[in-house]
Amino acid sequence: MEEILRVEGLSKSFGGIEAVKDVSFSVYRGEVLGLIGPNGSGKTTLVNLVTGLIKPDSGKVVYKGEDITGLKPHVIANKGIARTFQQTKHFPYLPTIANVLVPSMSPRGRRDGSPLEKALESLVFTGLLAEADVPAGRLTHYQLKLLELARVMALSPELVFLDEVFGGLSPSEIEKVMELLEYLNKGRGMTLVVIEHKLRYLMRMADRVVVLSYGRKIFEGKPEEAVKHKEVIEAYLGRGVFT
Amino acid sequence: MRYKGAAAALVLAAGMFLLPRAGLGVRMLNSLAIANIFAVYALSFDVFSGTTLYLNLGHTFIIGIGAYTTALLWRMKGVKPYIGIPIAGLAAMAVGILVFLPSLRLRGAYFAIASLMYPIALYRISTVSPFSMILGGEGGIPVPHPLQSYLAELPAAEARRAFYTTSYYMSLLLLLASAAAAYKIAYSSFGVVLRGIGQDEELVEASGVNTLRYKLLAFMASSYIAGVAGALHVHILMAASPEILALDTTLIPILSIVVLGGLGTVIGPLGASYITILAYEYLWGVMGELRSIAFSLLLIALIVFKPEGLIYTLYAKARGALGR
Amino acid sequence: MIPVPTLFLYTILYGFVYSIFAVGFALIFGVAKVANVAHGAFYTIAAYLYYVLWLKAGLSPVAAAVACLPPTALTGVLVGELTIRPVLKAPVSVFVTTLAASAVIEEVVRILFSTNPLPVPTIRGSYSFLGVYVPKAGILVVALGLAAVALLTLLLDKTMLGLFIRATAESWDEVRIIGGDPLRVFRVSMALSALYAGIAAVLLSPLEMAITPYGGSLQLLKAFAIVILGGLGSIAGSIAASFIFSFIEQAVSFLFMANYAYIAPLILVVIMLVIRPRGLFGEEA
Repeated sequence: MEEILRVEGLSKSFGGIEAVKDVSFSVYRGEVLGLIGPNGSGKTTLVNLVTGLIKPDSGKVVYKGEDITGLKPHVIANKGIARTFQQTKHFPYLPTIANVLVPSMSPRGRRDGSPLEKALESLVFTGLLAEADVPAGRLTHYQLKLLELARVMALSPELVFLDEVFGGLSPSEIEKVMELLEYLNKGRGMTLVVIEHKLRYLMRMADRVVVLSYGRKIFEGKPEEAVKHKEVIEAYLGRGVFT
Repeated sequence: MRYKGAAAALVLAAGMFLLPRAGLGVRMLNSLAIANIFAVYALSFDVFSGTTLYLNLGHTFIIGIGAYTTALLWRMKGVKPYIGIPIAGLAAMAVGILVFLPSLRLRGAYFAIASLMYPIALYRISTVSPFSMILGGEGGIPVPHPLQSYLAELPAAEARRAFYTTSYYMSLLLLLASAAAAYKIAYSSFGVVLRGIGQDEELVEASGVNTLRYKLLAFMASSYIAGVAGALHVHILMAASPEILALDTTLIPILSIVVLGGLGTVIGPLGASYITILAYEYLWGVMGELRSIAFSLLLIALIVFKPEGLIYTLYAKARGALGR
Repeated sequence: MIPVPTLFLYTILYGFVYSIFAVGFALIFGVAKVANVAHGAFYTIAAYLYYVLWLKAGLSPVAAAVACLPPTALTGVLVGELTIRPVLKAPVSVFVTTLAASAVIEEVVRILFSTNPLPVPTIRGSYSFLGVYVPKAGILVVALGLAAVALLTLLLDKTMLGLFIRATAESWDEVRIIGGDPLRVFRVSMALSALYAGIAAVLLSPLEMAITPYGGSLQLLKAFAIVILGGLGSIAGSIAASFIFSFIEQAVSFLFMANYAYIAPLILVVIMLVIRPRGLFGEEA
């Protein structure tokens, strides 16, 4: 298996609290990796570290053999790493189409085809075309989650970090998002790192999982083994693992 | 829809060209010329600050650099206004980049605080010796009207009217050219990115777009236009004085025009400037010194009571940006 | 030959006044995350009230000083309610509204009192201390300045109100969770902030021996410079920067001429912005 991303001994603390502590793992091309852990276990911080939003105290991030530690977010995005945000982000006063136009205006987004075509295509695939004219601020929560994915598509990334894309969605909405993710993975060949604190849906799609607890990696391996692993169970104890 | 807009713009432009023939007095013509200049100030402010929401309170510094550049070129080297004015635009852009580039990395409020330092510092410098010797102190540097030699040949009776008519036409040409350029910038996909920066800069970065590059390009366009307008302004006033840097005489009117026209609409200032400047002139007769108080209160009320209106315009215009 | 002890004396005097003024500005910046451009106007109002109460109404200087502060604090609350709170969610608009508010106050003062500087008597007399003549007014500034800074520190660190203010600076939502009303905290902070601008005016006016309608704007300009110099968002940095700023100002006016004292620190700040925009003590963005 070809390694697409390697995280080596990554650490970051905020005001003395270690949010991420000496975390190492690899992501392989084409897989769906689940990054799980209870709330506050450092998942989002890890994504922020990899995508350049914050700089690590120590450790490094290697993407396709290149050290990308501490590069600017836009540089990292252009190398092919996209992300979504746990608290969905959007440009509320710009129409939906313009929201997607921003990533398709990036150097990477421009590589294949005109930005506008690319943006329209992403809207078609996510089923948001009918909302193209509507300011993003008026979209529903579900539509905003789709918009996040449309933005990811417009960048044509190789690796995508999905930070709690199922958060706040109904079961039927989750099914639709999962279908879309499967298309991105199988149809577009994107490697996915899916961040979730709930395991139920993740178990169905993840090839492997990495489990974090209090900023440390406590498990890496098959999902079905994770749920039997003693430390993982302890970390989740009383938190409703399988809900 | 598009053609309608273009047609309306053409009719408006034609109307503006015919205005001086409508039997207006020289005082009115002068006010209109100043309104044209302030419209350019406001739209050059808006093309950067209204879209990115990096509030450049130092816009009058950029204007001042343009103003003093052409004035100094004239005084020291005898450079004619028609050469001095474009050079002034370039100087404003160059100096603007030099001093603002570092603070463009600062976010939101920090940028605004930092930017306000420059015009105030330049104002103080311009009134203290030995700089006041070079920059003419409070009185400023006397400069000629751009068409001085042409006006000098006219009989005295005609020259006075010609002075104001030509001032009006020159400022109008500048306004139309700047409005076209600013419109092109703000209502393109480039403008979409600028507005994105104003709404969530982190998201623009995460989308793979180098925000500093976009901010810088928009700032350069804004500075060039402002510098040229500042230069033309002093040639029409026939003096480059520190008043052009001041908060009450320049910055507050610019902000009023931008807010009245709709922040981020870029073309809003066109109409707003005429209303604002004419009201400003008119109120002087009615209220005297109280007019700037009235203006400031109006400005506060507009922002406090009509914020969603401005944002709505912002959206409506973004739609226009996509060719609908 | 520079009179070194005198230079240091004045550095400390002005450093204290600048700190008091800048701390008030920083307080609102912390609590509401907005820059209040009308902060200078509070200074101007206090200075003119002080002048009127002391020299026109005939109160003693101390009584006038005490009496001019509550109306100043009230103005702070009013400006906060009318021009900051309605647009709190749009920090950009706050700039425009408070700039306009400040222009209104300045204009009113200008119309009532003209732009001419009004003379304020200084407190006469001085002590000789280690061969330096220390004016009594200066001793007063240092004593009251120290007390004002200490009181604010105590208030922020030791009282319930201080706890709420610090919590509000962190997150308005969390204040609601612990049962506080962030809007009330904001109002109190506006009052405190204006109060400190007023104290700066009361301390500085007799030292400068004159007041003008633009005195507040000048202080605000210096506060901006200080805040940028000290690092945005750092209170300790602002206090340190107040003394650095004051030192440069004094040194330049001793070495060259008073006119340059205005400009030298401004130029320094502009250079600072160019080479190190986050300031001496500021955190990396």
